[in-house]
Amino acid sequence: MLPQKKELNLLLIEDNLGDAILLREYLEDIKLIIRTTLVDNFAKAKEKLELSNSYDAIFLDLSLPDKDGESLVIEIVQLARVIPVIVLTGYGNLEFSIKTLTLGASDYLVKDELNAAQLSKSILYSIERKKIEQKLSVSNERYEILAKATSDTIWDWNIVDKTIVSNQGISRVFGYEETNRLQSEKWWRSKIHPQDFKKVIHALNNNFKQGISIIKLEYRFRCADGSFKYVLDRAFVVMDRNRKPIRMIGAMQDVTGRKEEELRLRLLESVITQTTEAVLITDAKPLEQGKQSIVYVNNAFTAQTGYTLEEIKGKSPLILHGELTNLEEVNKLRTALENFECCSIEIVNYKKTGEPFWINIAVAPVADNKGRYTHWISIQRDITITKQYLQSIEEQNKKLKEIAWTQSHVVRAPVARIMGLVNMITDKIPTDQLTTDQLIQNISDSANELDLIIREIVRKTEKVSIEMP
Amino acid sequence: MKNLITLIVDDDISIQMLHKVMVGKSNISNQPLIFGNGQLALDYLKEKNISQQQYLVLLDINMPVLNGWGFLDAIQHSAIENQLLIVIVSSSVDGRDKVKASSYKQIIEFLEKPLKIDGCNAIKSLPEVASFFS
Repeated sequence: MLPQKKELNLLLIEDNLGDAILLREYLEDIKLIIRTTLVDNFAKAKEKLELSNSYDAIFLDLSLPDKDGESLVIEIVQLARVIPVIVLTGYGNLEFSIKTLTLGASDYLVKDELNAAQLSKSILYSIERKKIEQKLSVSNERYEILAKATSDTIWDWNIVDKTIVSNQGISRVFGYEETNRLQSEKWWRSKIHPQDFKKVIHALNNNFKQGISIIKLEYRFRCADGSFKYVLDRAFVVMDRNRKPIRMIGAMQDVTGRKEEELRLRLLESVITQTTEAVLITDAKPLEQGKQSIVYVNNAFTAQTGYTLEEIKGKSPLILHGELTNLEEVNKLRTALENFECCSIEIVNYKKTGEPFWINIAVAPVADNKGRYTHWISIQRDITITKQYLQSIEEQNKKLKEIAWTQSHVVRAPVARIMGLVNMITDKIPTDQLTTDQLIQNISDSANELDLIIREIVRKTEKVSIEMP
Repeated sequence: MKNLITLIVDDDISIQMLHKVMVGKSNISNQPLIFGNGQLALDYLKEKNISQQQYLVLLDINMPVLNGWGFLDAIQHSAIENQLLIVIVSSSVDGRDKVKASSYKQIIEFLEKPLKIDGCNAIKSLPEVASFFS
């Protein structure tokens, strides 16, 4: 209620002096300390109200010389803002007086029926109602601003009536017409993704059964265009005295972006976990001669080397090196690391058992979102078999070349001889030592020699089979 | 005509005969000396030890006892190292043999068998020996 000692400051807008005096007399009868300011037209009232809003209430006559009727009420109410406006009226104007209440007037008083008790009651009620109205409007405004500020869709579900009221989020986020802001529970159910439906309804019923008042659900919600969005729905359940849920208020957050990123990351992660190539990740501390430590290895790495993540985490990749590891290649890698460049080398590494194996290591730096290199990713492919094939092929190739070289003399000797002898016959070069028959016999012997040599080469090359590991 | 002694060094009797006919027909030499391997030729040259005498050697590579390469290695830094003009006459068609041959200063030509009149004439026109036949 009003503080008793406070002086009430009233503005009286009345052009009829008689009415004004009458009202003042009634006011004096009220056991309140009252100060009135009288103005007799709209212009003056406007001036007063623009100057000060310290009035506790305004009395307004409906017909002033410079303004009257609806526009007068509307403008005064606007000027009055938080000050209650009490309309003064005559019998003839009763119908319109009632309408002024919808225009923002707090109360109306019929001049001919005025008395002190009614007046005092009207003043106090109007002031008090205005205060409550004010509080409500502030709180409403706060809610409106919050609803606009949040990107969530806020909803209020009347469980008894099976209706749901939502804020603009339902259109802004999910693309539904504004008319869908009031919908049935059935409508909401129909928008849940079929694959999530059972899970959602089950969780909801479970919550209700156990009397839990905070509910958190993640599911896919159908948009107006038929697509689905991942939502995180958080709600508070209001229950009656028997702990029966009667109302739920919640906020639906669109988490599609986060969810899709999560799925994308999971997919990418599966590449590392499922691949048959060994993956090793180290941190990228400033290089103090191979002091990076291992932060991750995948299962393929464990299968390849025998080291599990637990065993090797925090250690340096140097523990994989050994006697046969080519230091030149390792230094090549080290230089690349110092310059944060990608690099690929082939070296011998050692398994946990001490068994050496050939490996191709491809290393690339990984930067954080600020472009600073934080890690090294290394993909390690076992190339022992390829290496063995290569070595074996190289060895056999060398043997075959040797055979070809040594045989080129041996094979070509009888060929050259045959060519020389034939040349003698065709050119009819006379010789004392040999007759033509002897030359032909010589050619025949050379041909037989050649035949034997070729058979020998075939026999030798057949022995040179490539031994595949 | 200056004095140039021609040596045929080859283990193949038929080749020896062919080469003898060819050098005779091409007027390189009517009385070439014939040796069955590098060692026999080397022994002859060392035993004779005629200073200032120039020799044209038709040298085979693949031979028993001492092959062509062995012969070449043996004459390096010997008393006769500057008296020999050597033409390799080999059945080899392997390029690596030709590359190897180019590392010996005495080798003036590398010919593939069989040796024909054309080849003999080519030898005669080599700058290192041309003066002997002019």
